[in-house]
Amino acid sequence: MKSLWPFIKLLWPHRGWVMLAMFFTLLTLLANIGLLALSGWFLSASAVAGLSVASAYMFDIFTPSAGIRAFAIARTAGRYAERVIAHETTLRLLSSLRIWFYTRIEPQAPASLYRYRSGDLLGRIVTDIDTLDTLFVRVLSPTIAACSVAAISGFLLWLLAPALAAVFLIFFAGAGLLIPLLAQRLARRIGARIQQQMATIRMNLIEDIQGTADLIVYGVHHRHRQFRLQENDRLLSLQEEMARINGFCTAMMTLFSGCAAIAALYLAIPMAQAGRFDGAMLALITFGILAAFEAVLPLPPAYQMLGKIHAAAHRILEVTRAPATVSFETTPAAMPADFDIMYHAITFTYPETTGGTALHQVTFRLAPHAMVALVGPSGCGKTTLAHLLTRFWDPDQGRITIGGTDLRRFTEAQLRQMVTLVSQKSHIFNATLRDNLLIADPGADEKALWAALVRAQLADFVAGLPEGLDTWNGEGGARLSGGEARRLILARALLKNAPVWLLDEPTEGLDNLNRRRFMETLFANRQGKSMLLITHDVAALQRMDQIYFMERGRIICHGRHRDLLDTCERYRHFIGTRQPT
Amino acid sequence: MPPSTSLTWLQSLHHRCRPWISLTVVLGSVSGACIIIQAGLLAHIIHAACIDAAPREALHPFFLMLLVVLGVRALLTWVREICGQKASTLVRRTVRRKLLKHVQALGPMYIRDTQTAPLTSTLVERVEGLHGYFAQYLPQKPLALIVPLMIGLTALAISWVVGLIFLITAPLVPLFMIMIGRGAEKLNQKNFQLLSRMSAHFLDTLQGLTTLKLFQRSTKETERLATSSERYRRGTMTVLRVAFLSSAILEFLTCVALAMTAVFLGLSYLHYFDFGLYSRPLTLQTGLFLLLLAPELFLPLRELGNHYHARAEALGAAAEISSILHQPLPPSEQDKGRSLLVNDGISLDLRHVSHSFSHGQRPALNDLNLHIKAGEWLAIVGASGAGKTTLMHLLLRFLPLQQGSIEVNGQPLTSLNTADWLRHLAWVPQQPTLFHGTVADNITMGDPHLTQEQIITAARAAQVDDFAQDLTSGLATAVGEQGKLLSGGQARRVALARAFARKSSLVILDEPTASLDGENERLITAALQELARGRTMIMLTHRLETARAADRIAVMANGSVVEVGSHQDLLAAQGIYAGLFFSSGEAAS
Repeated sequence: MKSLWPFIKLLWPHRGWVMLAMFFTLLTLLANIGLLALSGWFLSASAVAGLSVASAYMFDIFTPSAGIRAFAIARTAGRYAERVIAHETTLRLLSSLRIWFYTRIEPQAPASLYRYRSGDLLGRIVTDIDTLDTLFVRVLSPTIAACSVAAISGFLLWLLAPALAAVFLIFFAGAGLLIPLLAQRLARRIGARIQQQMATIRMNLIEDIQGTADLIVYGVHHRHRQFRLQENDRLLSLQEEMARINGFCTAMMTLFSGCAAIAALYLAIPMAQAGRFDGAMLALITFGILAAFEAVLPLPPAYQMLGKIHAAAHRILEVTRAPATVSFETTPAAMPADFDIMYHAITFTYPETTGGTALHQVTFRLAPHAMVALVGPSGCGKTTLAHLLTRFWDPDQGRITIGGTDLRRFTEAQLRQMVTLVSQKSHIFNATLRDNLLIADPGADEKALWAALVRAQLADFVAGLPEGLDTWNGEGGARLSGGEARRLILARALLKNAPVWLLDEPTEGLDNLNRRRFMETLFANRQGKSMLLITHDVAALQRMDQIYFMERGRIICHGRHRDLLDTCERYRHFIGTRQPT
Repeated sequence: MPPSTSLTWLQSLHHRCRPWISLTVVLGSVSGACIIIQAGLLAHIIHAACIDAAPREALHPFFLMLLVVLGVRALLTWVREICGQKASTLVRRTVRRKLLKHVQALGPMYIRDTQTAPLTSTLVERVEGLHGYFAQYLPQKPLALIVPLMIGLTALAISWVVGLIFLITAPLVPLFMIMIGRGAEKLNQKNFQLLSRMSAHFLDTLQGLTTLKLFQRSTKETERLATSSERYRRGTMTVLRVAFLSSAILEFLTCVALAMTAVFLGLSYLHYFDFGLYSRPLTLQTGLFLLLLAPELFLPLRELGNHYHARAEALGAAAEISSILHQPLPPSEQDKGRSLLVNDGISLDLRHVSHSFSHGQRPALNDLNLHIKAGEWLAIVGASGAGKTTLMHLLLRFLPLQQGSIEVNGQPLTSLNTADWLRHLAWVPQQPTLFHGTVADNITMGDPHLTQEQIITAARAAQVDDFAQDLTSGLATAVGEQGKLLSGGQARRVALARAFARKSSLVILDEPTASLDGENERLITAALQELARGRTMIMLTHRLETARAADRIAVMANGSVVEVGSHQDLLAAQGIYAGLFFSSGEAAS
């Protein structure tokens, strides 16, 4: 429950809606109880009264029939209002949840999201938030409603006879608490196994489908199919076991609600005959109790949901509670005269990793207006080195200076103005091309946008689109090819026009033609900028002012391409056959 | 796929689970009868206690019967659940088997075009999506007719007024539901779309958070998130306000039936009315009995409504599943054909081979001629789009031969049994799939005839042992989910070891050295030298440096072979190859 508290607190701003939704939920339940109980009483009472003509004429038919009508209307209207308002509340809560999550995650991004690099895991966060938003409708509201029904019905029965209230409450608690808990206990292990089996099947199917060609060539596709079908059979039999448990619990619910009514009737008969209350009350009690059990029905699924919500809450809090990795100055430092970037003996280890030190005593310089490349095998620390300049993380030891000023003395705004990052992971939003560009400079006019597109050599492409800059990217819009996407990212960076550029494998995944075109565009735009380029592209390396070759978090050697080939054996070895003849 | 076709496909599955569905319906009907009996017993007890002032002891038999009926009902509920599950099990087992078989039969080309992720989700989630329809909706559909009819007729037998109230209001439920439901279904879909779009927008924002932050837009995004959420909420609520009308109507009719019954009976007791009972006296027992039946009348309809979304889900699933199953199989899936005669290696003769794809503007292969000698190592180089991959797929028979002829040792490839032909060859794809299991399992690919020694030899030859030594259990180390434990270069070396372990006369390699770092490239090139011994080897590559090691090099352009010869010959000829080689050592495009 503790991990749910932050989310329950999010309900507070919507307390009006919450109360209203609760009110209508309860009203609907109570109206149904009232309708059945009153009708039962009305029939019994009028039957008794009808035995003699005199009493029949004395009988007040208007109050009960008005009551019946009122309950019927309350039930109908209540049901509709309940559903509409519950959803209204849910959607409002969802919106709050998302904004809450976003504002929590934003200051510590991207460090905290780094573990969730793959889209799947981010997708799971989104699903988790969707799950959490059912907390109110599926769990809190039914629970509170059931408790209220128990309290109100119990109290009314207690007025008649405490024994009746006791019997009702015992069975009510049994159906509302005992059975769901029992069900959960019985289903927990099997549920986990079903999930596991499902994951296994999915994983193996992905492999088999992906590798169909391999399987066919090696003649084992029939056998693999048999394996998958056997796994499927295991899943199906687990699910059947689960159905037996679920069926048992549903059966128990039927039993409990029936028994409650029967037991109450059994107790009430001698009481009525002893004159403790009117005989017509027998129908009222029995029918009322039968109707009251409607409140218990949503509880078993609610508890099942609670488990899921709990897990989701846990995962979400794990992300949001991660401490912010860096904090920025709020008072701006004097802007440096030049953008001479120095890394002084930087050592850095990623937090929460089992991997070793990412950077060891790295000293590195990106001179003003220079074009410098970082080269090395994957995992050598190139990207880390570049990311430290954006302050996604701060180094454990050493410091980074821009024009002699410590990087940490700049405000976030200052730093972002100075440094831009272009990487294959730069995100293109599901929005119009214009919106995607405007992120870099919200005030840019049409002319500036097109100028950037021209420089990124994307203008012809965009001009050729029927909707031009207003073309939607993504779902239902234009799908940009790999080359076009990189150009758009480049145009965005050009629009921002920062003096320092970090380019993290900007051409990775592009074919040769597009790679060459991208590089040409880049070189054409290098005027007045310092560029740090991470690349394997030999053609590009030849044109660099300086190359730093890294291995295992250390800089092995640096110099120009030609010189390094002569002086640095490791570099020559790494470049290997890439070297042109 | 139009909805009617999905429905037809769903209905074609009914017969598979009919016995279980029928049993579920029978059990549900008996359960309905029990509810009527239970109402009768309750009414009798209350009547006896209230009107006849019968002592409780005298009513004991009725209480006992009540408990028995209740027990039977509970038991029926339990068994019904199990039967419904059985029906769903049968269907899902069949559908998954059919789907998997069909997808495999459609072959690698189809899978490449449709991609793994949607296929997997169809096989897993979509098939699961059939569950509710078969387990719950399908049995409930007849029950929603049978049980209300049973109750309605029972009421009619006692009082034609109450009977009429029941038999008129109950059918109004489905009527209104269909009327509203028609629109509501569309609205619901729209609602679902809105909701998923809202999620997608949020996901997009999270994915782009780093980018937003770098452009200092991340705090501004909060407002955008709030306004878009607000917009979506409004849209969704407009939809839901209409969609919820159907549940309000159900509630309304239930209440109306109950209230009318209660008022009619009450007024009859008080002698305001004197009709509708076939001139029989109205006892409390009859009145209570009829009243108790009123809510039960609507319960099956309500349940059907609850399961209605299962139908929608199943229809959605059916559309996707049947669109795959209706995909015609390629003709190459033939188990007939002769087996290949191999005496002294495999030689290949390709004459006037052309191939075009329906979506391609120009043919992928255009009058290609190529002779590959037994035991030679031939490299095929060319820019992407030159037709190398199409040629490979033809040789692997993933694609049918459209034009020209391919002869293997003088036998037409088309006359050979596919499985038998594939037995003679090994294939190292550019991105080999590693399967769940150990490194050794992935080398043997389940061939039980391989000895431990042979596996080790293959691993050594393919430079697998180079990295396997560093793994916790060597070759017995599990490769992890989707081979996560190994890098791309390492995975390719495992695939090479597969080729080594297989006693094949022909090896086809697809870009064995693409996107590798220097170290891996060196190791793999060394392994290739080894693999080429005693086999015919066809290697597709765009790396001229890799091609240089081959005996002969075929240069492809625009779907045909334009130059063939050894590295030296080609350089001397000063043709395309020489041009490429001198212009850049990097790549040939």
